[in-house]
Parts: sequence; structure tokens; C-alpha cells
Amino acid sequence: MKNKAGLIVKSFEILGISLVFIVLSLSFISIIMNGSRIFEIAIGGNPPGYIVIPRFVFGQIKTLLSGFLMGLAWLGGAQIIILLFEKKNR
Amino acid sequence: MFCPKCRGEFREGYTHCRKCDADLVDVLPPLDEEAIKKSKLFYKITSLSIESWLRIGGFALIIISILSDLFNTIGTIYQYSKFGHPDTQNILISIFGFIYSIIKDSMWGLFYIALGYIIRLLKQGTFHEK
Repeated sequence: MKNKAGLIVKSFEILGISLVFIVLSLSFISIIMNGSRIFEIAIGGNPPGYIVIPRFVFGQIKTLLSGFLMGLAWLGGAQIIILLFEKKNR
Repeated sequence: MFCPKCRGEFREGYTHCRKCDADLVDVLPPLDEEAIKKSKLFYKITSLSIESWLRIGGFALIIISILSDLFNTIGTIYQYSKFGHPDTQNILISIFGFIYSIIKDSMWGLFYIALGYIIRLLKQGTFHEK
């Protein structure tokens, strides 16, 4: 693989891995910070707990999953470049 | 030539399985059924490659997004009906917002699934003999 392509692949991989880790750590911090508060709001609050808790839980999972997949997509892009180069040089 | 990890067959000339990062062997070792049974779930999760993660994650993202947007909309409409102005305009804004979010998140999910399939097809075409 040429140097330029190798550099692009490396940067894609670094970007992907760092995105995954940043998103995972930020999501965990957000869950810990909001998790205790959400139950206080949910008890006797408005809207009631059966709306607030699923909204919070699914919202957090969605944020976590979409960030994780975004990172994986960069890693996938790096893999596509590698595969295309190997196919070309075969 | 065979990969001892994924047990895939390779054409002559290949010495390394990029997917599993393992050197190819001439003869496959016998399956250790007991070990696989014991760590079946762990084995399944850890043996998933990027393309599998993308495909499964894409499906999961679509489902989770629909649930998340649904509860968001229900909460907003509930708050309007209790404290705000439960007029048609506010409720319509919430419903259109819900439809927009579902379409947007489904598109992202489909993008990840498609990316997973593209990588899989490229791998099959490059490494494995059809």
C-alpha cells in the first residue's frame, strides 16, 4: 500500500477508535450524572415515571449506540480502503 | 489453505487470514466442541467482526430510536396537555417531529447496515473463493 493511502487508513482508524472511546466515556458520565436525578424526578413528577424513565433509558442507549456505530463506521471505512487496495494490487 | 480460527478456505498463495489475524494452516485442527459450548456467548460476541457489529448495531439503532422518539413524543404531548396549551398546532409539531426523527434515525441505521454488507462483500470477493 502506498504511503498516502496508509496514512489515510491510519487516520481513519485512529479517528474511529477515539470516537468510540470518547462517546462511550461521555455516555457513561451522562448516565451516572443524570441517573440518580431522573429517579427523583420520576417519583411523583410530571410526566409520570413510566414515561420519564423509558425516555431517559432509551435516549441514553440511542446516544451510546449511535456514537459507537459512528466510530465503527470510520473503522469500516479504513477497512474498505485496505480491501480495495489489496484487490487492486492482486 | 484454511484459517484455524474462522475455518474459512483460502486460495493457494495466501498465508494469512486478515479477518482473524491468524496464519493459515494446511489441515484444520479438530473442533473442540466442549470448549465452544462452554464459552458459546463469549465466543460469539468476541468473534464478531466490524461488519457484523455494524449490521447488528444498525438494526438495534433503528429499533431503539423508534422507542426513544416514541417516549419523547408521548412525554411532550403529556406536558402540553397538563401545563401548556394543548392546541392542534403544538400536537402536530410533536407528531411531525416524531416522524422526522424516525426517518432520520432509520436512514442512519440503514447506512450502517449497508456499510456492513459492503465490507462483507468486499472481504468475500477479496479473500474467499466463491
